[in-house]
Amino acid sequence: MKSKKMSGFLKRLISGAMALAMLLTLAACGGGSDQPGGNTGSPAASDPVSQTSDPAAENTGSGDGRTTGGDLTLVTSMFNGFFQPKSQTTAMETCWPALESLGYQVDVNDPWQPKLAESWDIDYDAFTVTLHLKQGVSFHNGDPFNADDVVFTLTAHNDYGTQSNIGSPVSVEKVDDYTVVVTYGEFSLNYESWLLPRFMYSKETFDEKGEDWMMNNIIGTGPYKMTEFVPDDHLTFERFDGYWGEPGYVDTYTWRFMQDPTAQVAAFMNGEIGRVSPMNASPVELLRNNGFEPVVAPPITGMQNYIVPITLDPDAPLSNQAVRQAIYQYGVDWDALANTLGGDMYYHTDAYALTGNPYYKEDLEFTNGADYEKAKQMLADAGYPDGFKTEIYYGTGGQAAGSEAIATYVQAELAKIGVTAECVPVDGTVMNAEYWSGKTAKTGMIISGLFFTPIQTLRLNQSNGPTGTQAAVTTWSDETKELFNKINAAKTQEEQNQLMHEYAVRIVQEESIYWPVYNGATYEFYQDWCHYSDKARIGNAGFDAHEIWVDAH
Amino acid sequence: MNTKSMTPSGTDTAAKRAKKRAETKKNIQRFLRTMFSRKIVIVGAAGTLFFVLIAIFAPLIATHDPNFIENGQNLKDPSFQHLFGTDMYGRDLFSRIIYGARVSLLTGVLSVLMATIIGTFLGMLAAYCGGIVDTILMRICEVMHTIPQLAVSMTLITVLGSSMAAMAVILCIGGIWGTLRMMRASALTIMNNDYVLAAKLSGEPMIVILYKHVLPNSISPIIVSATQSVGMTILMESGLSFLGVGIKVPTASWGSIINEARTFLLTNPLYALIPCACLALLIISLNLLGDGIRDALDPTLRGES
Amino acid sequence: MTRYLLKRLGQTVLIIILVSFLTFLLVSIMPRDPVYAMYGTDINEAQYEIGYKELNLDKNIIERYLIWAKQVLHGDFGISYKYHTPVTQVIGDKIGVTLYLSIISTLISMPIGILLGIITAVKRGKWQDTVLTLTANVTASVPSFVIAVVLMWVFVIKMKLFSTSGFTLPWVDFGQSVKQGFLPIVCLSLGGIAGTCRQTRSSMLEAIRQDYVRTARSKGLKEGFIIYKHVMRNGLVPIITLVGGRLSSLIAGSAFVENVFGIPGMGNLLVNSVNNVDIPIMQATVMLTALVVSLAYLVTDFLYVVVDPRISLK
Repeated sequence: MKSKKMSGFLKRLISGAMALAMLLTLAACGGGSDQPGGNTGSPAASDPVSQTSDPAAENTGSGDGRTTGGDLTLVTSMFNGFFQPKSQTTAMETCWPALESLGYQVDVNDPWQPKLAESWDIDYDAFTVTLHLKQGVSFHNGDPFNADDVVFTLTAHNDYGTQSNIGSPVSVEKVDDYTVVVTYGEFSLNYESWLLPRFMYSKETFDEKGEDWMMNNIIGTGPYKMTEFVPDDHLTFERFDGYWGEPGYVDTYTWRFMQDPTAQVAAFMNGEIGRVSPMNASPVELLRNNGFEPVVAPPITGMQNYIVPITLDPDAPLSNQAVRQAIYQYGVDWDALANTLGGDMYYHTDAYALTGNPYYKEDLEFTNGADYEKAKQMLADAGYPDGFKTEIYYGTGGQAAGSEAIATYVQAELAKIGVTAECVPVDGTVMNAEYWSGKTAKTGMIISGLFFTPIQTLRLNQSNGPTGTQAAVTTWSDETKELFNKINAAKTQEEQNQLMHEYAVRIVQEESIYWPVYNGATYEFYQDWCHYSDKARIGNAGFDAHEIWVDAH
Repeated sequence: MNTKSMTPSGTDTAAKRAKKRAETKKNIQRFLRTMFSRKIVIVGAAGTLFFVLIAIFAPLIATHDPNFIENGQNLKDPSFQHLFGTDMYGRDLFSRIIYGARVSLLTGVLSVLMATIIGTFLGMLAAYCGGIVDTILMRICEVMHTIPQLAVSMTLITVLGSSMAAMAVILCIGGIWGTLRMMRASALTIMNNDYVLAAKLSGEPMIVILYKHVLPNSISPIIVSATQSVGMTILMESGLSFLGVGIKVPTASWGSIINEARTFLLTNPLYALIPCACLALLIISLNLLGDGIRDALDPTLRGES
Repeated sequence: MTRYLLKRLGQTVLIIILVSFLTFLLVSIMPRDPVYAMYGTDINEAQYEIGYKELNLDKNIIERYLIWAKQVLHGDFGISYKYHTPVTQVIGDKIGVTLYLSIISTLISMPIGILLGIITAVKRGKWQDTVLTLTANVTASVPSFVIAVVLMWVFVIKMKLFSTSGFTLPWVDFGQSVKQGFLPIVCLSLGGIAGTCRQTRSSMLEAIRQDYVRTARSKGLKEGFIIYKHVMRNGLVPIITLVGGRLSSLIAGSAFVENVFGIPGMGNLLVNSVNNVDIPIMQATVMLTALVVSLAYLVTDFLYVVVDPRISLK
């Protein structure tokens, strides 16, 4: 009996001690064994200068100092569905190794370059665009790329009601296997901007696998094919041997999913990832102190956050033009806001849309910091000596963290001039359905933002112009509406630029129905062993695989 | 036949009441002495009192308006002007933390108060009515116990918004059911006692029985459960704020400050660590105090013979 | 005993049905537009109408619930709005993660907690008791996300020992798995250890006081033997309660830790689905949690009856 009772107690003690010992051993193992950056499991990682069997790669790998092979691990905070004709016009940056577009534009004002479309003819009188497609291209699963796929991709927008994203063409028709004619209903200077950046998807794959499969798998024509996608964890690509062009240097690309900005920067500093774009300004200083210098991405990757005051109720304070001007011009220190929320990365501009736009002139900038006393005086003159109450609506979910920060800041600034604003978070779906449509809120202001695609201003106009999806909350004057129509009808680029300039002055400075908050540039940091040449970036979300390589590390 | 009418004269009843008052006073004194005989409880009580005082005198203690943004002064280190430094917008962190105590304590206390009152009432109702009312209430209890409170709270926030009042209501809803169950069990036990049966037989209405016998004898478990709930409710509220769905901007809540500060953990760790410490200290104090109250009210629970 | 079990089983089924209806109700009062949530916000009128009908929004709530219930009984939980894959697949991917972390942390915290609880009960009043009890109290009081954030700061950012986020199964890549999983498991275990320790302590002290222990002592039996034979066996009941309790907070309890450490598990899924209005996932996750909780209680009730025959008389 005695031995039994001792063993029972002892057993417990031993098991407990063993558990502790296991823990300690695991801790010791986990701390020392792995070298940062080298644990992605790619076989080529240990052999960075390996030559591939592709003769083209052999040729380029030897002479220009760029190493072939290796894995490049990058980080993203968002994986959206990959097949996106229903909402986004271009896929996310996470797709670029695999998907290709018809053509591309390196930066805002550059000429369009061919990709999957070898050439195109535009007839400005007949409103048609004839696309001549590249031959001998195949998708990753072997399907050949031809006109059927182009017609499919472009008309897919019709099924989801998003044809306005490609300019609402009247028809898209296949002429022969490598020629497609897109017909529009009216003149526009922007046919290329609408059509060429579209990523092309395979019709056969869609017919075979269906939409849901397409949203979780990438089948494209690009130099890399998708190997694995684990939602909320990682996405990997490896070199596609059947690629029509020159292969990329890197063997595999891995996107790791990290929602937390701190985690991203910490992973970068640990050497786990090759490149990071901080989502806010605070780590920029830290990274600089650790010897990393940022590269500023071109404006084409930028975005503008803006506020639209609701002017539906004629008795509301914000429907009074003087009130709006008082708040925008003197009530808020926009520069401080931009600096606080984004450091060097964000800057305030009074110009509608991108700073580098062709219609941009210096005179578009007119604010000069805040003057709270003047603002209060203007409010008093307008009939509100004691200020007034209003609401700030901002969307939640997904990319909305920036909106909340803006709302918080603007609310505090408004408090300084006697305006009591309440911050009201609104769900993204409701925001579109109820608020932008003017159905729910009659007063207040709404915060929004837009990333620019090569169509930049076009898309912004589509949203905010008198005919746009966000137009219903503004009471448009007839002059503005007329001006807007003239812009769309402009026959030459110069005419359009001049009209856009007028439009920008009117809506921001004079009528003050659109308040730019800040534009954001993207800062990128690279590891020493991760090389993106100056020519690497193509347009908004694409890269040239031939301009990216990694050293052994 | 009313028991009261059995007494010979009014003075005896008065004497009885006086004796009862003295007894209660002695009980309370004994309770306080037992409670504070352990040092750990004193620490808990002191901590709780500290935070309560901070919450009450927040406007006097805070050096700045907690929502005032000083342009260009974001993420500054602690200095004489800003004792804890500034937050990501340029607001004084010290003042925000002071006012944050208010938010935590107010929502915690209010919601527990409401939950206790409603739960007690419903528990007694369940015990009194029995039958279908009881079954329905118990089923609701089980259902609410099974659904994760996190999901319910988050859903209700989208419906009711996240002002302090709404948060108090939402958190209260989570706490009613535990009190209900406990009250019901306590009421049922007491109602089985002999003197209650006797009172029933002598014709006393149930309402009076509940009020005179059940309620006073259930006070201790109610108080114990309530004090322990405050800590848990504050935890839930800060957790929700931490996830980003709690008390709405710009009101300072410790949980939301920690959430903001997460992004800046690399560069300004104090921004996150200070509210973490405050939250931890408050809940620890509340729990120590709660344990002390529980042990003092029912020494057998403490495990000392 | 079989009758008792059947009765409990019936109760559990009823509860789950009620939970499903309540969840459905809860989701429908949320001020979201389910059509926009499903199809995105860029759709036009015609598409909206199609979507409206497809989601059965033109029928009343009871009908909608019955349609949904029928689908569920066939194993079809619908398609996630965010991931565009069947809900069962999404949950299948993530439940493994949460289960793995929870089971490991329970396996770690239970023995350690019980051990510590025994020590504090046996050394009642001495310094071991005071120190351990105080530590347990403090650890149990601190919010899990606070512990997570502090650990993250110390071990990941300052000392760069571990990974910031992600999850790998140990048989896929052991080193990576430990780097990513160590801190979350520690966080999850700490709370468990503290709670288990306290509960073990009080239940053991309660049991030690019982008459039969006094009788045994008076018979002259050694203290250790008494502890094992009588106290442990009868102290098992509250421990079963504990395990049941731990299992029941499996999913919701790990939400904060998963959030801080970026782990793609069920807790994170639950939180994100409410934030993103991913209605099918939300309903399925809540149902699943309810199922786990109910089963946990059912199993613990069953174990009670097995361990302590006195209880079955209730």
